[in-house]
Amino acid sequence: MQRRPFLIALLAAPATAAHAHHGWSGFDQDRPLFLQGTARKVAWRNPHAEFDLELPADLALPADLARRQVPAQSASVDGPRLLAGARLPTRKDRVWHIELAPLTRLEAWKIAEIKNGDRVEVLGYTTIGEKGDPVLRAEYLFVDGRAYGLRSSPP
Amino acid sequence: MPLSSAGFSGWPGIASVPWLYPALEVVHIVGIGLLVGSLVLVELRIWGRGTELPLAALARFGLRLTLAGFALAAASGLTMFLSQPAELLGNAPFLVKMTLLLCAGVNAAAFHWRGGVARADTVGRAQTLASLGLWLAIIICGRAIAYY
Repeated sequence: MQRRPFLIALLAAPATAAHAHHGWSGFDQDRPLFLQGTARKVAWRNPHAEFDLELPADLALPADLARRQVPAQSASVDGPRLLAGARLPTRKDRVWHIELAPLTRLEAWKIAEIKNGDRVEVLGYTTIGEKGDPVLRAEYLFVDGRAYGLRSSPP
Repeated sequence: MPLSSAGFSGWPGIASVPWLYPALEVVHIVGIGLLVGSLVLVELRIWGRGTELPLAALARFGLRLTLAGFALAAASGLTMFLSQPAELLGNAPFLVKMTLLLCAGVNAAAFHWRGGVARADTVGRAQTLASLGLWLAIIICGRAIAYY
C-alpha cells in the first residue's frame, strides 16, 4: 500500500512516473539490459503477460548476443545496436519481474505460452537509475533459439 | 506487482482471452464518455449556459445518459477487476479511485435528494462543481492504475 506517495505524485506532477508500471516514460531506453534464467509465476494474460525470472548466480552476456538475428517489426527498432549495447544490470537481485506484451501481440508473433520452469532470455529496459523494484520491460524475447520483437507486431 | 495468491483469486480466465480485455477497455471508455459528457452538458446548463434549453427536461434526459454511461463503465470495470482482484486491491490508485467513486455517488445522491436541479442555488452549484472535480480525479486515478 503506497497511498501517500501516490497522492503526493498526483498533486506534484501527474507526468512524473515515480514507479512506472506501464508506459515507457520511466524506463531507461538508452540502457538495454540482458537477463536470462528460469521463468516462475508465469501469468500469461492481459493487459500484458508477465513472469518472474530467476537468474543464475553466474549471469553473463552470451558471446553470440551481438551477432544474433532479430526479426523485423512494424515499428522501427535498431536491433543490432541494442544487442551490441546490451549489458548486465548493476543491481544484484536474483529475481526480476519481466513484462511482455498484450496477448494479441504475443499471438501475432506466435510465441508459445511460457511455462513455469522454462529457460528464457530477454533484452529490455528497467527504470532510470535502476530505481524501485527490479522490473524489466522486454524489447526482445529469446526462447527455444528464436528471437521475438515485443515493441510492435510482426511487419 | 507481485502475483498475489491471497484468498479470492477472481476470474483470471477473463484476461486469457486475447480480444476480451481490449474490448472491455473500449466499453469502459464509451461509458466514461457518456457519463462525463452528459454530466458536463447538464452542469453547464445549471451554471447558466445554453439557457434556451429547458432545464428540467435536459436534466432528466441527461441523468438517464449519465446512468447508462455509469452502467457501462461499472460493468466493464467490474469484469476487469475480477480478472485480477488481488493485484488491484493492492494498487493505491485503484483504492483512491474506489473511494472517490463512493464520494461521487454520495454527492450525486445528495444533489438529487435536495432537488438541486430545481433549486439551482449555491449549494447545488457547488455540488455540481464537486461532481465534475471528482469524476476528473476518478479518470486520473483510473489511468494511473496501470502506471503504478
